[in-house]
Amino acid sequence: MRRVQQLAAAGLCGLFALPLAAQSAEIVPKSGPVQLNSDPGNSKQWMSFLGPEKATVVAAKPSTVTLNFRIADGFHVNSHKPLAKFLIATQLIVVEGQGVRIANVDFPPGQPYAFSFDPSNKLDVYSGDFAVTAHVTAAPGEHVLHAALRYQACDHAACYPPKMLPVVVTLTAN
Amino acid sequence: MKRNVLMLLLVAACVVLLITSAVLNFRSRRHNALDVSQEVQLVPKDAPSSSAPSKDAPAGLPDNTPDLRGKVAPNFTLKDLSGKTVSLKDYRGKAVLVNFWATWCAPCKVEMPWFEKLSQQYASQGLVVLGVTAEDVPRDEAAKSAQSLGVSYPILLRGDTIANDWGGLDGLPSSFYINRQGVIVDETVGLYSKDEVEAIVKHLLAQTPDSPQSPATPGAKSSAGLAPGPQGKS
Repeated sequence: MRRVQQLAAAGLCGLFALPLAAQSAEIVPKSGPVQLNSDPGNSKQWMSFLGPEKATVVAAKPSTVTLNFRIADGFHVNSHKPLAKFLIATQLIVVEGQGVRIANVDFPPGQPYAFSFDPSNKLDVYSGDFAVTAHVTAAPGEHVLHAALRYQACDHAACYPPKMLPVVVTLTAN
Repeated sequence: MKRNVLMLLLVAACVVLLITSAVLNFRSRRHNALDVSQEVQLVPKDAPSSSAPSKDAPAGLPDNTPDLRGKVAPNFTLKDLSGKTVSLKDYRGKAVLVNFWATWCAPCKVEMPWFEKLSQQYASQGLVVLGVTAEDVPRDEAAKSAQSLGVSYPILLRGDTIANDWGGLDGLPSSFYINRQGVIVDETVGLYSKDEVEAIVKHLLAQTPDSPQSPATPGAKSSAGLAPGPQGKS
């Protein structure tokens, strides 16, 4: 009986652990010249950065900065963990070496979605507003964090090429 | 006696476990059912930028999409999956469906098997389908996608290099239906239904040099209502 209880407990624990595992963070650092403004010749965006434009953190100590985004009505983007290999995940690309070190980034879990024309094909997407949390450590002083959110948007029937949404935050570390 | 009680407790425990399992299973299935209904609700009724038809609104080209219907199709020369050079002008005299797609585009992958079927069904009437990747994708990756979709019509690479000639290709899938004289008769952005695609193909194949230049798809914003198609839309 005890063994059964242990197995059941382990099973339940496993069930609860799954959503947590789906929120694992990833960051794509880039060094050297980086095009963060937008894809060449294609500046139309399906998402906007809501801020903050400025944030204050404790100098030389691990802190968090929450970055807020809004997806245009009627559109969705793949989450950080899309369910198919061929889909383009939402990622934060950060330029390193600006007096700010980003340990990792927490992306929210996506929402289930299926195109009406292909209901059996399940997707994991963001729509509306969502936030990602960056874990940062900044040297004393003021720093401008240059980053970009790479995403690929679709509406109910068409998809649009991947985009780079500029993210600029002035960090004051006291 | 003690042994009987122990057995009874064991049986009771098993029953409880079975009931718990059944309840969890029921909840899980119910949760999944709710997810599915949520997915259906998430599909917007009238997304602002796509051209694909809905029950509520007539189809047309998205805002800021150049209307190339009635214009001579821009020629291109691209390489296919085997490395062979292919030009659009090689197909003059055929009815050509040029379909721009991408490996990351889910709607594109829904319609490509339809195009495969149509290319075979109407080959004897002169239909040719050309799939063109609208991205800089490795040849192997494009080939793998085409193979998994059962596509055997020519797949051409690096359509992104000719995007400007074809209106920018901002939304995918983008398809252009070109008559035997090399004129674009119809243009679609976004996924259309299988029946609608076939109707457009039939309209294309019915074109003669004397046919009026009227597309099967409804007009874009700039010419809305001017182009009633064979499906009775306006």
